[in-house]
Amino acid sequence: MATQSFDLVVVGTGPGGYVAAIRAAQLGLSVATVEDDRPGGVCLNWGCIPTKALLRNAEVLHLVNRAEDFGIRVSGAEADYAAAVKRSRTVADRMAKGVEFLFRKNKITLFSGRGRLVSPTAVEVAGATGTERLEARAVIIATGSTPKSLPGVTIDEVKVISSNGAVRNETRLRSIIVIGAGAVGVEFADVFAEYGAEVTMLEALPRVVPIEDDEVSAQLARSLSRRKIAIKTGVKVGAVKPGSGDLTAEVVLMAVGRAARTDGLGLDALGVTLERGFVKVSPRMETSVKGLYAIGDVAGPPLLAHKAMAEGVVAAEAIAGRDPRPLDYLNVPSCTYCRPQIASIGLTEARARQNGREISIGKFPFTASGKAVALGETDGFVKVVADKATGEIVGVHIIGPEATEIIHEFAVGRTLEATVEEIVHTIHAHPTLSEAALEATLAAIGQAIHI
Amino acid sequence: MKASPLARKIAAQAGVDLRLLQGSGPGGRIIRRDVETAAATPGAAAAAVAIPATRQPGVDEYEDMALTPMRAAIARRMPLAKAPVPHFYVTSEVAMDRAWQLREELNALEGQPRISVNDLVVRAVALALMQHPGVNASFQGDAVRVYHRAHVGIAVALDDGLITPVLRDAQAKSLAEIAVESRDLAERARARKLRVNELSGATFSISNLGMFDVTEFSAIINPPEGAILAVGAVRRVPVVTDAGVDVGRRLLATLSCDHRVMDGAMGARFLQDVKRLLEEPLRLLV
Repeated sequence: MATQSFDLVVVGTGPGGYVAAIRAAQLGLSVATVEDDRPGGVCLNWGCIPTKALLRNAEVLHLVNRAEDFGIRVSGAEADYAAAVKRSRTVADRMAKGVEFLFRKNKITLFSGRGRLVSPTAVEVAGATGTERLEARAVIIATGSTPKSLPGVTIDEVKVISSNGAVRNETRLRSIIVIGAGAVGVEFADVFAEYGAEVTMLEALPRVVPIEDDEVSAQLARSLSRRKIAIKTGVKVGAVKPGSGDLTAEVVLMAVGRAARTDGLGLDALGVTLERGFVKVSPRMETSVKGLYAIGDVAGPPLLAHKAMAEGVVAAEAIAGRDPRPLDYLNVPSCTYCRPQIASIGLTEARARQNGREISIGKFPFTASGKAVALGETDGFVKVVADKATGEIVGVHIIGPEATEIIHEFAVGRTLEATVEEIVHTIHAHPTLSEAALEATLAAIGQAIHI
Repeated sequence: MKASPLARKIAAQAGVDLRLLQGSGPGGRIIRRDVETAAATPGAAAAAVAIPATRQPGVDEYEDMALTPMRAAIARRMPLAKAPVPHFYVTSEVAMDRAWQLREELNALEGQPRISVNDLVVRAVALALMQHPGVNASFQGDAVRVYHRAHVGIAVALDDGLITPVLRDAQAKSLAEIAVESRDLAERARARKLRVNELSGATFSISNLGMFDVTEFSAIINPPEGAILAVGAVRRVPVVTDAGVDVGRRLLATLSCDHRVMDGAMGARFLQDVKRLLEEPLRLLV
């Protein structure tokens, strides 16, 4: 077995792992990465990126279907779902190749195969051509997560599929039951519904997108219902089986969450502390074992690619002897790319009140935004939760067109510790969707102009 | 001075002077956490005080004791409290005979909390501040902020420094309530168990060195407050009466005033009222 030495070995090349590898290489470390699939992880290959390609298809189809609203008569339009999937694969391939290019550019060595920790500073890679041993001063675990199922329900990726099966499926579905109305469930429901499937969404909690603000959930439920997506909340799934039942569909999509991927990594033997199945880490992303770091989904919620990337930078800088600024987990934006889009940051109104804060709420609907009306996308609103005494931007909740882009004004604001005053003194270009951000903030201090 | 907008607002509300802070944000910018920590500093920092190892006496002519966080905070803040604030002082002698008598009677009552001389002073000050709102005030650069409620800071001496917990709404509290609450604050101050919000927001402070047999002294104002009362010991002194010379109990109290907020006569009138309340102590009970 050949042994090679590096400053850093990163196990997993998803958005956390590849960013950590690149940042460490930039800081002068020799870096090896280990990957048992393609570089880019779930995000680039099977998650964020290909689903965004599919959602774009759904959006284009939606526009074609309502072209008449714009006085454009379209005849003979045909939606080829297999072509949509093919396009999403092309997009994913291109982005994954981009990671390979960045590895070459930064002189990062990629080892293909399954990585296993044999000590806190040594990783064995079982590849197609044999086993290699990589030794390093530090190791980062960035192995991500896999879809969970419900007890007693086996995901076969044929009739009962996870997001992995959903993103690979090339046939246009006639009907689908989506179990779980979080971001993943809602996004696939959007795509399949737009392509004509009869979609039923089930959620155990009392509302869709349950981690979002109550009013956002209510607005999304209205928007989805209008699109003929059936929503059943507060329901418990008894069993999923072939044949008849209370609900039947061609396929069932399990979207009930994800679990850390730690199997076969050898963490037990090293005595790495886990917490609720996720690897426990310090603010510098170090595990309970010195020199061993963990980032991204495997290191716990929120399970978001951008959180993984930011943690990757912290871990790489800590290993390189820098003094990185730890993440502020209250300042990680959360985005769902269904139509209308959802984006949020900070505390919901309910949570802020639970914390006993004196808050004021400002809300601005997109129906009052000139740009949104011109676009013909007026579902939704911007909601600002502000601290009454200091004007602190406690939370922002957006549902509507390009919500996932508008949110960053507030992400920057919160990072700079801006208050509502700074937002309202920022001149927002007209006409833009971002004006809704200004107006909602003005509304929070009782000074909205356009509502 | 670089500070985030939120840090500025919280500092203004908590009475924290940003000029005294070291920023921990990017490029040394003062951020919210710095202000919140500073508001909590005396207590929080004290918990981490390391006692320097004892050196053998007589070996060196002197030794440099490392500053404890509390000593460092006091050293940093005091020049900024004294230099920019134009202080003036007024002193008055208070006949404490009747107050002393009243206190002994109150303390003889069963089931009542023990009342200290300082509790009487706190009560008198709180009532007098309601009569003289101009003393219960703070200089704000372009305005004088007059407070409607008397939040009285009570300086508590610690082995390695001092700390000033705040007795809120003293004007609305009875002697018994003041006694119970200020004892609790003092005990928790010594145990370093005060919460952040118990250390900020005073509108006026009292410093009492009577227990050290100090006759009189003058104190440094704690910005942004407008005044502080320095209280000496109650002493038995010869007093001239119509009949000759008698023995009486007397206390010297010195008010330090921010001249930007008030003038001599205003400070004197306030002190006169404090004196009257203590000399006619039944007023403290009604």
